[in-house]
Amino acid sequence: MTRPIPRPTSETEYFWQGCLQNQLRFQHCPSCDQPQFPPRIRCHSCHKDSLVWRESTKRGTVYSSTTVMRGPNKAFQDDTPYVIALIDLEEGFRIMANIVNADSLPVEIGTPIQIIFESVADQTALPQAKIIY
Amino acid sequence: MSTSAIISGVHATQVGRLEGSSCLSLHDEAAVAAISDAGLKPEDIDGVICAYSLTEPHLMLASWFSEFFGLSPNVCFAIQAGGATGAVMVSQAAALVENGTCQHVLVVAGDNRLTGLSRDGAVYALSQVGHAQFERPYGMSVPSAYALVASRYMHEYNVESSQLAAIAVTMREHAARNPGAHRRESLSIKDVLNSPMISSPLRRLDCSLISDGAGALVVSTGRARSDLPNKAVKIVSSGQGHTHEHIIAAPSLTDFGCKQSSEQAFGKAGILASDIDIAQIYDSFTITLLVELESIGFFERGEAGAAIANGALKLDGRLPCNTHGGLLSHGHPGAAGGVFHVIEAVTQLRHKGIGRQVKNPELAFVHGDGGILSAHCSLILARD
Repeated sequence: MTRPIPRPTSETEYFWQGCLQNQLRFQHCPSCDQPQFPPRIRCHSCHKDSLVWRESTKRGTVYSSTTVMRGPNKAFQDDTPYVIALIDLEEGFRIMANIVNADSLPVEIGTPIQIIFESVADQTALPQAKIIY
Repeated sequence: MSTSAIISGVHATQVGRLEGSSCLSLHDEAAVAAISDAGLKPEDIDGVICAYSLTEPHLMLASWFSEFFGLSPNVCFAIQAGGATGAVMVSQAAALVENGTCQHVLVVAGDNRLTGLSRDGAVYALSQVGHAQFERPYGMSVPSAYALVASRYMHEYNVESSQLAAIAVTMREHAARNPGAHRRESLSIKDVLNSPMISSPLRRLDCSLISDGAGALVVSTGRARSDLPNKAVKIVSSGQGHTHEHIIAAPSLTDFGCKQSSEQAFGKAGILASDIDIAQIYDSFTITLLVELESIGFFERGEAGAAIANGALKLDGRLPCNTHGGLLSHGHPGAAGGVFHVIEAVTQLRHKGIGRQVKNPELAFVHGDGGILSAHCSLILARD
């Protein structure tokens, strides 16, 4: 068993292209003036299909985190312990990432982080999180 | 409280490691016994609602089961709402008899997850509820998604791990009184706190079991109540709340759709949470039950943990809860797990909970949640 590699779909392709260029892209609804993630066709609030793409500063904080001791399959089990966090970006949207450089566990809520990109396959870069020490 | 739908028959199979069982054999065993418990014959069943199977996935499980069992119902379909499925099945069956479409709807769910998939296999299969692009690449399992809820909730409301452990211990005490339960040996707070960490802060004994088993019930028109061998239980009302599927898209990690679903159910029934005598609430993890008890309003925020540690959920407590032992100790074969919560409410309202009967309950609250606290369904049931 291997790790799942993200396979872009029509609505997420622009996001994944950004990751290859070290950019964390997110959608913004001009009508609601709200960010949105993950990428979709229309604003989940007003349902207009006028979303525009923006680029994040890649800075955020840990909203919640867990240290995984039992992974969902063999590929992840070999990496334990690893940290999964929900990260709130400065622009007001939330993503999931692994925290790749934790000195001590568990990672505290509110810890400042920077998004980096990990090459996980040919032409695929995955957003990951680094604690800003 | 106007409704004409009643639960006329129920049956839960033994739950645990059932060597030689299959998805369909478990369905068969539960169904035939529930129909008999209702005093009916298979040919009386004119509606069939099934759920889903991880062991033998099939696009049309209800049709397959009906063929297998020998039923030609007028209505036949399957429902997939994760852990909310059991409660949703019952609410849909109630609607079918209330609108006159059916007289007797068989609701049945079962799976042999433990012997058919193994614990690791089931954990992997369940991890696929995670988002394929934005969650699963990070090694998220269902326990780690609930661990993210737990971390945040415990941070905001100062919940202690020992309070979560008290939930697991209470469920085990109830299961010890239930000969049908998967795990009945005694358990202490220390045992829970010393069990292996799965995904912090959740330890193995904070997680529900992986089991084989099935549950079935018959929802009948109220006109059938005079012919019943057992006391009828009324389906008073139901409600649902659906806010997200993936945890990255959850609008909150402290408030969930159980709030809307329970408000709808209480509102339609014209009652308050404080009127409820017993509760059977989804306990896929210890944190699931704690969050739902507080979000629904059975306890104030941050107060359920201490109350549970003081016995609030025990048979003689303020809110006897999961009196069969819940998913944590009675067992969890998938969609049947949510059906067991309904069956236990019926058993208690019939006053037939041998060895675990709460004193004279009249009103029960049942709640299921699917996904990562994503899909919610609440039911209010009453002794007829």
